[in-house]
Amino acid sequence: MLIDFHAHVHDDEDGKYTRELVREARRIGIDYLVIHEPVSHSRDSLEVVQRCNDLTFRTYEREPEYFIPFVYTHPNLGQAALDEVKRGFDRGARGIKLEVASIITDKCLEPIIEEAITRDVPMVQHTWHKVTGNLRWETDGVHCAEIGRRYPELKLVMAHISGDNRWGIRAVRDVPSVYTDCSGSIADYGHIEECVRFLGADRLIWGTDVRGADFLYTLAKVRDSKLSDEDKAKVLGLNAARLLKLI
Amino acid sequence: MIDFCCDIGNYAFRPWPANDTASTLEELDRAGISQAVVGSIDAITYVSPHPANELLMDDIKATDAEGRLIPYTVLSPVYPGVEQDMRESREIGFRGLKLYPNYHGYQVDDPPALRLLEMAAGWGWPSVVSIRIEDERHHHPLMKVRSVPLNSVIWAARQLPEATIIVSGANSVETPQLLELSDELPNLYVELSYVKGPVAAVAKLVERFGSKRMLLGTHLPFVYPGCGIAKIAEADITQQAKQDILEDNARRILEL
Repeated sequence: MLIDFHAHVHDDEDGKYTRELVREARRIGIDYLVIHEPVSHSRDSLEVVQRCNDLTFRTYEREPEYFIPFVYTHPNLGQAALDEVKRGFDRGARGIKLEVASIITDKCLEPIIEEAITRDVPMVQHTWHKVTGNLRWETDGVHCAEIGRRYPELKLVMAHISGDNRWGIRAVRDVPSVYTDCSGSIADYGHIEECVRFLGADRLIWGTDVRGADFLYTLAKVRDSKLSDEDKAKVLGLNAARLLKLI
Repeated sequence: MIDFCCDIGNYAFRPWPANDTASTLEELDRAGISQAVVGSIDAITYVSPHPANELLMDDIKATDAEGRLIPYTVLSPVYPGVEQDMRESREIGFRGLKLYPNYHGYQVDDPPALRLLEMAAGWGWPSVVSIRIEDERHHHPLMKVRSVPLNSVIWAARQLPEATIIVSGANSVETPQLLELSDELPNLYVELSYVKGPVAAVAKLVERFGSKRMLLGTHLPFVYPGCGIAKIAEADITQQAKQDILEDNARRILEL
């Protein structure tokens, strides 16, 4: 089973992007695409957040058997942020996606985290550690570790292995409840094996970060790694399938 | 397949699974790559790069009996005695030039670099100009190295139409900007190691620009070699386009 756990939708009035995305994903053998909002890099109004989610669910409705939608929110919007999450679950969401509107340790996250725990769904947090300096409300791996310790029952997925995988792996290595996804452009030779060595094969999930990334490039970093076939199967789909309750 | 972006040696900022000629040849075998253009990684951070070239050549001569590795000398055009280092490189078996303007502190369109590129072209050597080797967000906190300005490489290629220049490490935004100049600059090529997106990245590039100016680059040992290969070999493009990018264009440049 091959599941891309980290794909972004795109403004797509005529559906052309979605058709191309699905055609290429199916050509490569991907069974499901977990879709999130269009990439966002700031704090926005509720209207913008709703527009992002509308895009996600419109895309989902084009191929409901293929796409697995996550609802996106900006926790700093307070009750409206939580209401938007609930609206997303009413429309078929299977998880929650957070970007760079709030650092995950901010107090405003608490109701969102509690909602994820209550519904027993995964919460994916964009995470990066940049030597050039993070965005103002951009979560780092050490923040995910803190939340993982505080909420061990939360199914938290630290996206992108925190960008700099050396940092990200060490940040969460002793927090067994935190998963990570290896989506994105980084394909440092050996980092997939190192991630499994420190976190175990059950905590790493494959994703691409399309539309900015290439399916084949990102798939090859797991396929080309020296993991056992059993561990590759976990990373490429089985771990995601368990989190999403597909198996 | 011929890899136009493969380096050998130790990197100051992280360990790699392959750091010498023998382990690199094993990696190339595993990836199905027959030949690779190689330079010294140590030379990137050596203040005086040439001793690293000599070490690499010793290693190649001791290990690569079949001549699968095509060595390129890594030099700094602004370092004293660089022209003598160039000549010595040629005498001991190097077959091309590789420049890292951002790590050695110069612009590739400045006179010293142009002189070295001209010298290489005079010997029929291709020259590789590296734009970046690692994501700028993940550098050592005390050694943040900016990427090379694309315009400086384009300017150098314009100034020296007789020089074959291969741009290495150009990303998904920069690569189309370079390929758009294919008609104007027939001496300019791009290796694709740093093209990591968008969806169907290589198919989109081939559709826009054809397949004659792009080269396979794995960026071994920094990156899993399969990433560089899969995006070309499994792309939805013709067999001829794959053959061009994976091998034939490099074969033409290298006169193999």
